[in-house]
This record gives sequence, C-alpha cells and structure tokens, in this order.
Amino acid sequence: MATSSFLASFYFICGAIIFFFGIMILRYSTRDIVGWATALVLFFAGIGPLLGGMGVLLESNLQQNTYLFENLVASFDYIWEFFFPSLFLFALVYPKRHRIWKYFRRWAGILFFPHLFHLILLLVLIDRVNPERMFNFLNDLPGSSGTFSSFFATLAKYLNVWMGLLFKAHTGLFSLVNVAFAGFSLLFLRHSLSFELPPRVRRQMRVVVAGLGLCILTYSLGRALSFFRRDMFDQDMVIAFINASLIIGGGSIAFAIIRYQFLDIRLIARKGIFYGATVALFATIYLLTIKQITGVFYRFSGARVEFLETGLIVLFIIVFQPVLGRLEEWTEKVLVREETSPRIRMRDLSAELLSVIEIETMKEKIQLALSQMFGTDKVETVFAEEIMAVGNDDPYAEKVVELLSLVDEPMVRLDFMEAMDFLNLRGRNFFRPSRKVVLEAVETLPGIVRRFARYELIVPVVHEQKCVAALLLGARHEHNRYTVQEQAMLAMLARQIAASLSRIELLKEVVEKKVMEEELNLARTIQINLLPSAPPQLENYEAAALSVSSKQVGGDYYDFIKNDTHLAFTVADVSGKGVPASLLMASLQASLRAIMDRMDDPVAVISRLNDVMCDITATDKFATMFYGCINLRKNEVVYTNAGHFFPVVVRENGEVEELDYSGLILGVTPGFEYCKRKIKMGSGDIIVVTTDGVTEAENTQGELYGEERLHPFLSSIRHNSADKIKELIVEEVNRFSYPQGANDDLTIMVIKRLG
Amino acid sequence: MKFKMRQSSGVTILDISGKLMGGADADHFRDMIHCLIEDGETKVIVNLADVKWVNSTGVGILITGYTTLRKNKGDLKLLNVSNKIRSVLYVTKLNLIFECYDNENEAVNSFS
Repeated sequence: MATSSFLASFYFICGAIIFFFGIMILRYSTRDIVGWATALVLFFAGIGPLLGGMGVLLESNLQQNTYLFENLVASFDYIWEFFFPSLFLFALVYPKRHRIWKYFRRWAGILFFPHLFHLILLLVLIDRVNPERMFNFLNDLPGSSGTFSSFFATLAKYLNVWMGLLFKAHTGLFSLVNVAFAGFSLLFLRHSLSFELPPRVRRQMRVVVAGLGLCILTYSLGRALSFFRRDMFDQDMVIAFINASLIIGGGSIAFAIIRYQFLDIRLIARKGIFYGATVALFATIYLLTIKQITGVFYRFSGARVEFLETGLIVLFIIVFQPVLGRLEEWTEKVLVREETSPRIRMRDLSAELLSVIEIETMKEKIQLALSQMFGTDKVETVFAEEIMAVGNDDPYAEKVVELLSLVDEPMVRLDFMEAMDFLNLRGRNFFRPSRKVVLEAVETLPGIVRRFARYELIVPVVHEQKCVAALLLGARHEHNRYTVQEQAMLAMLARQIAASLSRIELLKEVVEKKVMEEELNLARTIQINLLPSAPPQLENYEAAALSVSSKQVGGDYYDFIKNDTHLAFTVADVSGKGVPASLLMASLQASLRAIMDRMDDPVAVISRLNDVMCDITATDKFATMFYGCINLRKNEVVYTNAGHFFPVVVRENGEVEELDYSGLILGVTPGFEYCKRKIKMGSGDIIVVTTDGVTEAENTQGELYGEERLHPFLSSIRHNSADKIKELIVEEVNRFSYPQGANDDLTIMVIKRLG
Repeated sequence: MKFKMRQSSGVTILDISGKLMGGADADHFRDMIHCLIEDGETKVIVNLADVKWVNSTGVGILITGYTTLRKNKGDLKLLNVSNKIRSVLYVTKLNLIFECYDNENEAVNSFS
C-alpha cells in the first residue's frame, strides 16, 4: 500500500508537471506548428501518469468504489495514446520542418485518424456491445428454428469468437501502431541530428532523442510482456511501464526546456513548473493523508471534522510560497547552467556595456550576446549615421530613421513594412499574408527598406527622441518569432545601449577636447621656441619685434640672424593653425638657417624656401614671407618678398616709402623667379615690417586701419627708439579697434639705424 | 562668408559674399571644392563681386582651391575682382596665377 501510494504520488506529480508544461507552451510560446506539436506531446504525456496516479490515490481512499477507479490508465488509454501521433507530428516539424511535412501541412489531422478511430470504437462500441456476445441476436431471429436454429447458434458462436478475437487483436495490436508512430518519430528526430544545427539545439535534440528512445523501449516492453505473459504480469505492472515511458518521453522534452532553453519557454515557463509541481505535491499530500486522517476521525468520533481540511488548506497556502522559493532555488542550482540563462546573459551584457568605450567593441559584444540568446546567425547593429550616409542615394533612409525615432520599441517585420507604407494590412488583420508571400514581397522593396525588412525584428535604439542605432535580429533556428517578453527585454537593452552610446560620445568629446588642448599647448610651445627670445644687440642699429596672437596659436613667424657683417631679418605668415602650422614654421626656420651662408642673397634664400614649401605635399600649406639682409658696414638693405604685406621705410625726414616689390607667395609654384631689391639706410631711417593684422585692424564702424592711417602715424613717431615705436604701433592699433581689440594675429618688426 | 552655387554650361560658379578671411570659412570652402571634384565638376569660377576684403588666409583659401582643382585637371578662375582684392593679388603675385574676368560669359567661355 505504502509503495503504491508513493509511486502513485510520483506519477501524479510528474504527470502534473508535464501536463502543465503543455499548457505553458501554448500560453507563452509562439503558436506556430512547433508550439502546438510540443504542447500536444506534453499534454498527452502528462495525462497518462496523471490518470494513473489519480487512480491509485483515489483507490486507496475510496475502497467502496474501487471498481470505478481501479484502472484509470487502462480505462482512458484511448486518450493518452494520442501522445504517439502528437509525437510524430512533433518529429515532423522539429527542429526544422521535415521535407515530407509539406504533404501533411494541411492534413496534419490525418495523423490522428487511427487513434480517433480507436477512440470511437472503444467509446461507442465496447461499453455498449460485448464483442463476444455481439452476434447473439442471431439466436433470437424470428422464424428460426430447428436445424436453422442450431446453425445460427453455431454461426453466432463462431462469429462471436471471431469478433472477440478481432477486438482483442485490435486492442492488443493497437499498441503496435503506437510503437510504429513512436519509432518513426525517433527515426525522423535521429535523422534531424545529422543536419547542420547550432550547438544548443543539438544538445536539446540529443536529450529529446535519448528520452524518446527510452520511452519507446519501456512502452514496448510493458506492452509486450503483458501481451505474451499475461499470467506473470498484473495490470499494475503494465501501467507502471506505460507511465514510466510517458514520463520519460515527456520528461525528456521538459528537461530540454529547462536545461537547454527548448523553444523560448524560459523564465516564465520555469516558474510554471514550480507552481505545477508544488500544487501537485500538496494535492497528493492532501489526498494521501488528510482523507486518511479524516477517515480515522470519522470512525473514531462518528463526526466529520471539516475544520481539519480547512486548517490544512490554510497551512498549505502559508507554506506554498517558501516551498516554491526553495524548489526554484534548488532547480536553478542543479539544473540550469548559469551561462545559458538568458536573464544572466542579459545581466552580463548590461554590465559589459557599462565599461565599453569603443563603439566597435560594443557592436561585437551585442551581436555575440544576442545571437547566443536568441539562437540566430543574423544579428546586426546599424548606426543612424550609416543609414543616413546612404541617404543621398536612398530616399527612404531618412524616413526609416524618422520612423524608428518615433516608434521607439521593437517592431516585427510586418509592422515595419506597414509603417513604411509598403504593405497594406488594413481590413485583413485576421488573415496576415503567409511567410512566403511576405519574404517575396521583401525582396521587391527598395534599398534600405529591404535591408531592414530582411530581418524578423527591428529594435530601435533611441536617445533623446532621436534614433541613434537599430538592432536587427534575423530568423531563428527554432522558429521565426520573437515573443512579447523577448521584445520587452530587447527594448530594455536598447535603452541601455542608447545610454552607453551617449556616454561613449561624451567621453570621446572630452578626450578630443583634451587632445586638442594638448595639441594647442604643444603648438604654442613650438612657436614660442621658434621665435627669438630677444632681438639682437648691434652697434649702429636698434631692433625690436613682437608677435601677439588673438588665438592661442597663430601662424606668424619672425626671425633675426646676425653675423659680423650682416643682419638678416624676416617676417612670415604661415597658413593654417595649430601643430601643422607650427611644424611648417619649424621647417621654414630650419631651411632658413641652413642657407645662411648665403644670407646676403635674398633671392637664393627665398627661392630655396619656396622649393621647400612646394615639396610639402599638403595642398593648403602656404606662407607669405618678407626677407631682408642689412649690410652693417655699407648700410645697405637687400630684400625680396614672397607675397608678404609690403614693409615700409620711414626716412629720417618723415617720408614713408613702401618696399613694393613682391613675388609669388611661397608654396605655389616651384622655381618661381623672385627679384632682389636694394635700398640705402640713412642715419635715423627705420624699417617697419608687419603682418596684415595691423592694417586690417577694424573699428566699430567696420573701417580698416589701412596704410593711409599707418604711414602718417609711423612718420609721427619716428623719433622714438625701435622698441618704443613697436609699442606705440600696438597701442595705436588697439586704440583704433577698441573695444573689441585686434582680431587677427599681429606681428611687428622695427629696425632703426642709429648713427 | 556665404556661398551660393550655380551651374552655367558645365562650369560651376560660386557666388561668394562677405569677407573671405579664413577660420571656419576655409574648411567650408575646402570641403566644397572636394565635393565638386568628387562630382567631377572641376571647372570653377569664383565670383568675388560681393566680397569686401580678402586677407592672407583668404588668399590661402583661394590658392588651396586652385591647386586642388589643378591637380584634378580642372581650373579655378576669378570673376569680378575688386580693386582692393586686385591689390592683394598683386602683392602676392597671384595675379600671375589666377585668371581674372569682369564678365561672366567671358569667364565661362574661357573654359571651352
């Protein structure tokens, strides 16, 4: 009694779990044919043990009614035997639609015909008509008597025997039909294992195939033993075999679901098992113990104690949650592999995204994680810039980005196509076009829309109402749809990605700014080091120079180079800013100093520098440059000019002369022929070389300072020292452009002959 | 500085207004020239009628455009150069480099 009760409870619980699983699949998985087939398999696999368990449990409680419940499994075998055709259906569509599936597509019901026939036969005939007495009516035929009567009696007897045998054969051999169904299923599944399958699906398949193999073996063993050695095996034994086979078959699928994420029943389904199991457990305890106890009480006191049942139910409700929690914990620990749990995978991905600082790495991580989580080879991350980059050629690019920004939640292909106005589903919501029709339609779509529509699910990544990227998820190995729960999970992930992207963007800006500052500092250092720290000290001449920049780094350069007899001086304005301009300056200076053995030949110097500048391949590197050389003994200045602003000579008597020769600016045409000019420097004469920052200084009326103001001003201050003149010019320019100040670089060089 | 772009018998005419003085303008102008080259339009006339002043950076911008187009077998010519700008071109001797026109038709025809 104890053993059978225990066994019965075991059947009952297993049956409940498997049965419950079937319902779970229908409820939470996609309702395609794979979902249906799996649900049916589990449903019928659960019913068997459920009935078996219930039968034994009820039997032990209701002795007076044993007859009715004695053998529920056997009595209702026509129900749970549907397990086998369901299994066959399942094998046809999982993991891929088998190639013979197309013959069954519309006629899948045909698979169930043998069992339906069996059911009708047993339901309608067996209980009403006893096959061994079926032909007894022949004996009672009116008008039959004598020899006829005995003939009919014999006939009836034989027919009855035949009918009985036929029924026996049918019921007995029907097991063979079941075995055949199961065998073919196993063959198909085994065959599917030879396909190219992703590792997770392959593992699932192995579990399912092994489980079903064992299931068939147990079932046939039970049936065969009962058929041939009826004397040795009682009904309980056969039922035990059948229940075991159903539990193994259904259990293997259930196991695959928990352990290898079979279909997409995951978290919720797992919760479902725990609920199912706990409820079944309590129900068993209730049936086994409470009934006994109340029975004892009843016998003892003669009164029914209702409060006991109520109390126990309350107690169960109280302990339900903790027991459930424990059960869940235990299953998580024992059964679920940590790395395959999508929840954990998602958590890991989130953590990884927080620390990613490169967009490419981020892309890789997302793609790897998503393809593992959802079992698809096709995962793509597209950034809005990439979409917009093709915008010139594709009129739809902008619309796609707009749509994604607006929708901001995962969209399945059909929704996307409809939203893009490429699919009109209005009025036909109940009859969505078939997958094949949709896929054909997708290929006719224009450029970017087609690229998106080739994926099953499109998840926009939106930051501040603007789509910055999109996750594209393709067809899955197991089936084609993404459940609502998965879509919600992906939407959450998309938010996180958006946050990470904006973080990366900010980081990049900060780094860039920092780099730029560093670069400017470097450029500034180079420039300061290039300019002479102090003007040269000479006997008969005073020299002064100044360079100020409105920005941190300018493009102005000046230099003095002196030997015993000569003083070379130069002012240049280099195009560009920052480090490139500084380096250009540095190379100009280096070249200049390298040719100083010919410092009194300005044409040679400038031509050389022009060639250097032309050799620099960048197209926008130019410089204007004035170069002069004073013969300190003869007081003569030879000079040439490469496009630089004309310097002026202020004579001692106040006359102002422009040194108005210029050749082409440096860096345009190699080999340009410059000319040399010569002037005399009288006592008290001054040379002033500036950049255009002086004459281009602008006042509030928008007037430029200009030569017409500069020349008289220079004339008026000619009696000051070179250094003072330089300072007065700066003051004058600042006064003129007050209050905004000079907006360009300003370089002034003053050389005055004293004696 | 502002740009307007138009086409006239296979020649791109850039109408520039304001001051041609470098900074962001330089980048803008360079990008535009590169775009034109990518589109295979290398015959460019820069109309300076509404340009008040060109400083050394502005000259650099024009030179950059000129050399870039020249390398791509095109040319850059100037139209309606004011006396003030002419003097800048004279100082830098760029009057030897740039062909300057005062009449748009003449400038366009000079390409053929």
